[in-house]
Amino acid sequence: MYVSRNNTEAAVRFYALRPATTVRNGLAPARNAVDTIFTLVPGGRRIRIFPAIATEATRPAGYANESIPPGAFFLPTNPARDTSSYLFILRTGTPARRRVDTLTFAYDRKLLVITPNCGYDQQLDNVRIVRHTFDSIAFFNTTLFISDSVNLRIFIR
Amino acid sequence: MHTQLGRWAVFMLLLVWAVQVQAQVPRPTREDSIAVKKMLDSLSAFKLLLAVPRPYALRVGTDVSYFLNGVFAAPFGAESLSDNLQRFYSSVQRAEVSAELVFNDNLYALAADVGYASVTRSSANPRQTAFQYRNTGSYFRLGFDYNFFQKTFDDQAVNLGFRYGRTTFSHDLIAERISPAWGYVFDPSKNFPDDYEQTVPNERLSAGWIEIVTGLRVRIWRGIVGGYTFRVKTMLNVKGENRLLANELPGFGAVRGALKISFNYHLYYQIPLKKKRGLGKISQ
Repeated sequence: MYVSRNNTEAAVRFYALRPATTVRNGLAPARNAVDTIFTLVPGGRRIRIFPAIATEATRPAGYANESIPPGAFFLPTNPARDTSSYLFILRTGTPARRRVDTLTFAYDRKLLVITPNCGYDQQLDNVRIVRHTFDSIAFFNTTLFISDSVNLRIFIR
Repeated sequence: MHTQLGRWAVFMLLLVWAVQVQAQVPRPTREDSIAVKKMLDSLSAFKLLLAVPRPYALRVGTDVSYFLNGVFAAPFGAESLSDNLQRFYSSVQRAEVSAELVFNDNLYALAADVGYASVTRSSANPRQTAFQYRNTGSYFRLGFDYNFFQKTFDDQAVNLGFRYGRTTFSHDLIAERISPAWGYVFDPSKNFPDDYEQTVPNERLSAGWIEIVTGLRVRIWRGIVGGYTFRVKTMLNVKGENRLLANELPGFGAVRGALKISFNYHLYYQIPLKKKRGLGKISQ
């Protein structure tokens, strides 16, 4: 039986980048992690909230055993393109704290047929950041695996 | 002066000891000569191997294991016998011409295979994403066989050898895209994206592999020679892959794991290239 190790979603986690924080090789203290809550935009037309963005609590049953840290969420990649773009709107309740960020990352899609019964598998390789407006951002591995707890760490002030 | 005398004394002692030892070495007996002769006879095969190549026979044939595979696989499918047969032969087409040029009284052979293979794999599990993978190409193998039973049999052989294989092929994949987040959901009642089905073509690929082979060649009737070849193969490289990774290699088979084992059965027609000199060995 074939069990795929590959993932087509990037596990993302936000970190608060405080002045005293030292980020080395994309690693930040775990206490700086920011819990993320996604809310639907009522009546939003131009802005689409992806229904597949899931946090630990809303993951499908098949992913229940993964050790995903609290506060992490998943960015599904576009299966028809070699790049995926995302828009992040930070809302803290006050208009002054409203912040809009963009993120685009690219990847190489590799397709591999396993067997007629197992179907085909897709691997995202050579993942790299193309454009972003965050303070700092770091991909750890250039290949997305389901065993990765967090693929992408985003640092915000 | 004393040092020189000491050296001479040691030299003379060694000389006397050497002469005594020489005198104690027994002279070779008749039994020893026979044993040495037997040992040299057993090495005659290697002498033949090093001798100037003398063509012994040419075998030309084909690999019939493709036909046998379908027959053997047919009873174990989920459908009826005829359906399983039809499905096997419609999804796999393979033809191979093989030749062996045998040298030095059936001691070793140069082997060459040329073939064509076309394989289509479709999703067999309705719970999986539907796909169709097609792979078409030609291949060749070149190698060498050494016959370990050359002294016992005339036309039979128990071989051990190696092969180098190379293929040029093209393959493509037609598959559905599944991603609810990006709108790729199969729902005929709604408008799903036009590019819901993706085609990934990939042409002009090449790959190489090596094999260690062992096999048997038996004269079945007159000039007809049959035999199996058991192969342990490992892939060397694949060139020209884009997004689609090779699932099959013509002549090699499915690409899974570092080592692959396969079995072929060949039928040859043997054309003798050397006149026989009586019945010196066991012959059928």
